Amino acid sequence: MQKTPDDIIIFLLVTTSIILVMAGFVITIVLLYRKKQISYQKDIDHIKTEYEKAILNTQLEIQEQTFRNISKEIHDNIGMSLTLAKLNLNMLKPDGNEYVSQKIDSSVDLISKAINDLTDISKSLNSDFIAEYGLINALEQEIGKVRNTGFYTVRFEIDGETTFMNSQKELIIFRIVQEALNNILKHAQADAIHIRLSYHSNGIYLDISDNGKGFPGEEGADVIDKRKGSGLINMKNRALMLGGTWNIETSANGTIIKLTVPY
Amino acid sequence: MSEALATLLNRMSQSDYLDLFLWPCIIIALCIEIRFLRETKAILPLFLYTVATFLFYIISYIPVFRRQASTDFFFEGLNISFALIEYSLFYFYFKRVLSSIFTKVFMPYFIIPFTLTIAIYYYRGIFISDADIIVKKIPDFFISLELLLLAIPCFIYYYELLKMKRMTNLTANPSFWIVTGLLFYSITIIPFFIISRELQHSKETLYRAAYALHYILFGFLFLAITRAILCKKPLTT
Repeated sequence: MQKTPDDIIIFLLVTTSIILVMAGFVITIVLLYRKKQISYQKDIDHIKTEYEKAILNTQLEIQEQTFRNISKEIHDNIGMSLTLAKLNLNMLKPDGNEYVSQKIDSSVDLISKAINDLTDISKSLNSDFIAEYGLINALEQEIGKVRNTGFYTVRFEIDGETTFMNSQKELIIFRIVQEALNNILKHAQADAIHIRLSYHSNGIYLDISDNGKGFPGEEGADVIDKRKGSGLINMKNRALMLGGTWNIETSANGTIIKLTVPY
Repeated sequence: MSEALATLLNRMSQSDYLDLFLWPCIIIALCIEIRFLRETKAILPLFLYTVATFLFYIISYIPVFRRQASTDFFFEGLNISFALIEYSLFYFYFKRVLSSIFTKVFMPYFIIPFTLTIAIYYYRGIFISDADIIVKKIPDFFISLELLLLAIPCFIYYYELLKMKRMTNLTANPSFWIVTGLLFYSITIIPFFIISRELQHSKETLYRAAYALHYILFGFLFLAITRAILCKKPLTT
């Protein structure tokens, strides 16, 4: 049998072409599948984010409703009882007994202070306060309470032209600040707090810093990853729900929380 | 002993010694299938297919089944019988994997004409003694059609894969490996089967090159089956 190199070449060419076409076909399928997979993953992520937002929103609504109920209870029930007690004490006539008179005055003062404190708590719990007076007033109110303790120097700065957002957004920002202040009071061992609220064209930037001890042994920005389930996660989730960002940086010289929220 | 060795070498030379590549592929697939058969009953058609291939190649070493002018009838008879087994087992595999009408309704109907064709082949070859004629007419067409019919569900698989809403990692999908291996094998080898008869008698070098390619692709099919089983996932789309 005589060798036929041309035929072999033709055969090899045909076979190679078929193999290449098949390889091209499979590669195309794989690429199309990959493209669809990416799109599918995006859809899944979107649904997941929406679901988490819905859950968080519901949680916040429940929380706000609970706060509102507590606030109403304080205002209508406890506040009323204390006011009546104060009135009763004022109506008492000690008949020249100096000791009793002094005790009554002291009790009236204590009750007045309790009424004022409860009114503050009631206001801070009541979200209607934000809707009525706005974020800045609510923050000033909250900062005032911290200042009144006498242990902290609180500096509150506002930059840019104040832009009002919807009350729901302002309420969430307010709750984030409340949580941050609460953390400082409870854990930071700080004596100075600095809050800076900046209004920009694309949203607000809020920095809350303190000169406390930070998170010992957890320096850097990844503290959130090590503290799952804490109030930090709540703050971050709330910020994400607003479509914003939330970061924390901590060192031995203090902690800074940076929040951005688009309008 | 030396005669047996010479026979073996002669047999291997027909495929340019690519038996040495194909055999390990079949044996590896067989070992892996035996290892996972108890855990995954779904691989039974694949296991039976590998066993059938193993036996087919063992038998093909027996001189009477070797492809020579005088014994073509037995060789081709073995070939088409194996093709029917191959078709039937892949039908059971595709029936489990695909949901298309072609797989569930049309594929089984082809088993009947295939079986009848084999029966006619043997009847005419043995009782009517016109082996020379039927050897030229039936096997190549039979095997080409069988491979073509196996290629169709492969394309359906890709269609269903792209149509599917749930997405998985493709490289961890056993069916992807099996179908890709089978598609490569069947589509690439069809031209060879169509012209093999002509090549065998007129252009032996070309025939042997094509035969060697057949071995390589067949080996890759078993490597793909092995890879699929090693995914350790259910055989689904």
